[in-house]
Amino acid sequence: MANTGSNQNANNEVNLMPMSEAPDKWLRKQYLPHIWCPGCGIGTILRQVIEQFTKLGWRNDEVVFVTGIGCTGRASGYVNAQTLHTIHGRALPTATGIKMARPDMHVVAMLGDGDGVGIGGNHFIHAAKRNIGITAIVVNNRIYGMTGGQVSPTTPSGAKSSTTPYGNVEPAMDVSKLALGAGATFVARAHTANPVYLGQLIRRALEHDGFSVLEVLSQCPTYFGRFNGMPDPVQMLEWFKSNTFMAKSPYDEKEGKIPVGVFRDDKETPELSKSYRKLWEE
Amino acid sequence: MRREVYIVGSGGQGVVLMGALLAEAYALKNWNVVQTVVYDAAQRGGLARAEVVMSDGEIYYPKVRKADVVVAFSADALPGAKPKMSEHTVILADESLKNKGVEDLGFKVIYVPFERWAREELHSARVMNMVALGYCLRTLGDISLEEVEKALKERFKGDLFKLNMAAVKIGLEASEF
Amino acid sequence: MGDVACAMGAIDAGLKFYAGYPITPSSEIAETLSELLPKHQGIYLQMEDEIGSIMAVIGASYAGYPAMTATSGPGFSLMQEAIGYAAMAEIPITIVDVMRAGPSTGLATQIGEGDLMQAIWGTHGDHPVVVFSPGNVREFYIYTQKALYWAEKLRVPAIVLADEVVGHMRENVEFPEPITIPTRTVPDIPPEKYLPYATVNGDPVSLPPLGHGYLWHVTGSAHGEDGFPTIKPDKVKALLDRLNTKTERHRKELIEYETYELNDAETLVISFASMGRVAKGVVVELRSRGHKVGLVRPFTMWPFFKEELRDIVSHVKPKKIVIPEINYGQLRLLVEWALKGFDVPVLGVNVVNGDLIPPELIEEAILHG
Repeated sequence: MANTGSNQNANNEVNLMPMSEAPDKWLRKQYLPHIWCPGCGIGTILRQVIEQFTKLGWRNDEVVFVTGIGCTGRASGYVNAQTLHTIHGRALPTATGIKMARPDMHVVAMLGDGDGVGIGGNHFIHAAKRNIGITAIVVNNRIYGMTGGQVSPTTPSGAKSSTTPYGNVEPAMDVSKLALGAGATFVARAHTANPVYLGQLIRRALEHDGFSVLEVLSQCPTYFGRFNGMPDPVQMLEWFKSNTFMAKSPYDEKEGKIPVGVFRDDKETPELSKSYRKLWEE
Repeated sequence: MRREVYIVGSGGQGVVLMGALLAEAYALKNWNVVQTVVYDAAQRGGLARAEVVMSDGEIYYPKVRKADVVVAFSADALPGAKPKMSEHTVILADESLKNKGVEDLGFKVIYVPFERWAREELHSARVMNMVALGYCLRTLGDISLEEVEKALKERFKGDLFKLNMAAVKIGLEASEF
Repeated sequence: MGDVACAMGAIDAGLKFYAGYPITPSSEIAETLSELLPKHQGIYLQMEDEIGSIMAVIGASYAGYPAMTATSGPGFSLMQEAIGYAAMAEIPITIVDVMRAGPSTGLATQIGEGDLMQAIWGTHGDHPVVVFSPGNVREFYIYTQKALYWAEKLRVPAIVLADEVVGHMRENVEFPEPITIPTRTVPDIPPEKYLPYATVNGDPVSLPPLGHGYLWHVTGSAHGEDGFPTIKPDKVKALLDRLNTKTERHRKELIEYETYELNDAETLVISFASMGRVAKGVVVELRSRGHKVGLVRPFTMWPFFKEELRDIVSHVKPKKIVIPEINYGQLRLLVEWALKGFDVPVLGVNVVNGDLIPPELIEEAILHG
């Protein structure tokens, strides 16, 4: 990845990608180039994830990075950590077993919307209910990308996909509201059009001791964008910027826009892998 | 020598526990024992059956073939058990089962007030299964009071042991009536 | 109780993690382990379903905790995809299936033996698996330990195929010395040279503990020795060839069965799980009456004791083989496959009604079938 060595470019705009050792330390460069489409949002998110790993000073062998299946599922192959590419929807229960066995590990699960709240929805609810110490980053591109752009649980009502040619007749599922309802102790939403803020929220999610959910609205220009009048990724990023607003709750309303921000940060509820071990002392 | 006991009742009446203690009493005497159970999905009420086989030799078929003793706390399950009875089978039925068609099965029936004795003498109808255990051991005639006491001691502590042991004693030492 | 013996066997072998979902007739395994595991610095988790359970088991095993789950038919069906994942990713796991009568909810509290095919071939694609089947409480203890042992040693899913009668049966029993699960150590090979899917003397290398610099990748996709996905035909073939010959390499150690009164036997009875025990009783009884009948009771259902059975049949030369089982002929199909080319009729005694098959029916098939 090109570095300019400066935080500002010629046009005097803030450079969002300052010099960083993160790619060298945290990417398996021998397995690049990646499989994602040009303009995909997953790369932006992954970059911010490894940036925060670096800033937190974590060792590669104290991070376990778990994914499921789908476009986001492929992220584990590129991260230079202890990585698992599991089966569809099952990253969270796998991560639960890992964290219970090794509470000293930083366990990070990166899920797509299908993985997280479709096929894996029940695991998502129960990981939240348990407050198991996993960071769940839900890449919500609102479509099934890898299988060819079919409708997903988070596809907005009326949106087109390869299986909703007349527009989605179902309402969309709200990942953040679901996480709050299920009892996740850290819940936040960001989008890919503001990587600096995204990075800040990733950091808070990673540092949280308990089940943390960061929902990231991400662009899929190939399918979601193309089917819905935004074939250029820039159009999708512009859409995120103009259709979101900073909020304290996913229930906040403002001109039909999508709330982003930190919705819960509960530091009191005990984390499961630690509280279970109290049984050992009795 | 092979002894076979078939216990039927409703879920929650202590059928399985009675079978387990019967088996344990024989096991402490170095007999081979096997208990198997059949029960309904209902946790309380519904059918519960325990089959206990005791033998001083190897036990292959682990279920009852022709019962020496059938202990019945409820009448519903008895017709289903008919294939497991023979002319040598003795049915020990709680007296509440009188006039519920038990005789129609065509086997020897002895009505014993398991529940009433437990209630009247120990103020605890729940231990009727232990009264029945005592009466069943009395009928089989292989196990002494001291031997069954050992089995109970491994299961129960303190007051619970005393109550259950008292119930077994009532059944085991009951006179003919 | 059989289920309790299974749990005790697992603890004595060194089990450190159990995740499961309650289902009759296996729940007593979970209940016992929920009490015992915390006393042995282990973890018990009740998950949201059987898929979550087996994935948590895979996660814990990956992280170095010997792990297992237990279930019955409906839950076992839900676990099938994950069994394939564990086989492909070579993460050791043990699954206990206490069989009840199926299909579907079937007879939830009563015996069936119809999961044999599923245990061997349930997940999609060709894959290795070890399947043991106990016929009494003591064997349930032993084969739970052997399953845990072989799962770790060969990095395969190991399945214990018990049934409701074995699971819920109480009998007096003395347990043998436990077989303990091999422990993982930091590999001799440094992290930069470590290949998680390489072999040592033909067996998979042992897995490294977390936190020692081994940054390997686990995937259910076809992969090379380095663990990274590949679609190169030669690498894919090498992987699948190796996976599918894993257990064959150890068949002599893996295969266990009991024989009884084979000499001069004119009828050979072959039976597994609870029916194996019942069938033995019939053979004992008929021998005492002078009938020439013998018994083979397999404990290892997969890899199947094909060559061993062919040896037995060519030496004993039975006139007839009788197979009682509480399904419609699953073991019989395996036996007929194993004995291809032998001219000996194979009779099934097949009753699925929630109970053990009565000895009279087996005797009838032996004497007059």
